[in-house]
Amino acid sequence: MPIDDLTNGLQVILGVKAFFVLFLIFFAIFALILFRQIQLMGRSLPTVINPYLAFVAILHLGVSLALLFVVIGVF
Amino acid sequence: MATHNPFAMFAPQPVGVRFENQEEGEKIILLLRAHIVTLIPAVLTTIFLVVGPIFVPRLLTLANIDLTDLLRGGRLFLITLFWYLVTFGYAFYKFVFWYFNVYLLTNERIIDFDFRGVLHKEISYATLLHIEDVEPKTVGFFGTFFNYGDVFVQTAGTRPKFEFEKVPRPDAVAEAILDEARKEEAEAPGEIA
Repeated sequence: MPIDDLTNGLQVILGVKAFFVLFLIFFAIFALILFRQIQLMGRSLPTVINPYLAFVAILHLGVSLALLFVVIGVF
Repeated sequence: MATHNPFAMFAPQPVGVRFENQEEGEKIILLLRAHIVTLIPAVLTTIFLVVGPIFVPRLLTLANIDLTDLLRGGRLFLITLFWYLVTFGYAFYKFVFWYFNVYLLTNERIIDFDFRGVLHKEISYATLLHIEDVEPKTVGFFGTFFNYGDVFVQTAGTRPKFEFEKVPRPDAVAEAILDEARKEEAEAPGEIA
């Protein structure tokens, strides 16, 4: 493979990685705020499914963070 | 007749629901959410986002774009996971937004729980004694077909107008509010019944 092609390929991968990392940081913040909102709304209006919603929100946040770290480390 | 369904959009006397600052003896007469039909655009968007990746390889082939070099070593898996995470986040946010946008009619007041976006939460209260006028409004094809619409409640309180948006059976809602307001007027001042 010519050296120019290799450099271009690396630049594309780095660009894609930077995009994913940045997007996932914002997405993790979104997931955190959503979790917090569910907690607060659950206090204002407790219903039987609030614990399940909070659980799903934690899972959502956890997967976002996990994916962020995986993308930083592996991608 | 009590309602046990936690996802009900029109729930007379909902079971297992309370709210912050609920007074002793205060009962929830009616819990309302926007009509389920209002979620159709979000459901369609979610379906589109779910099936979208199936068509991406075909489109790339048609456009003669070859990403096999870039998508080696588990990258394709990560990108797919990322896509479905974002799709799930969107669907979950839309559901939570719908679920927590609740209007309550109690035997003492009306309450509007507003959850407008992730950074905006607002709860408004108006006592039934402050209600001056109730105006149900059904507009458009879907509103008429599925029987949902807005109920405008004019009050003498600090917030002059309450708007119950896209709630099912707006006429029945208006009737229930006026009925409770009449009962409240007949009570002695300070009585909770």
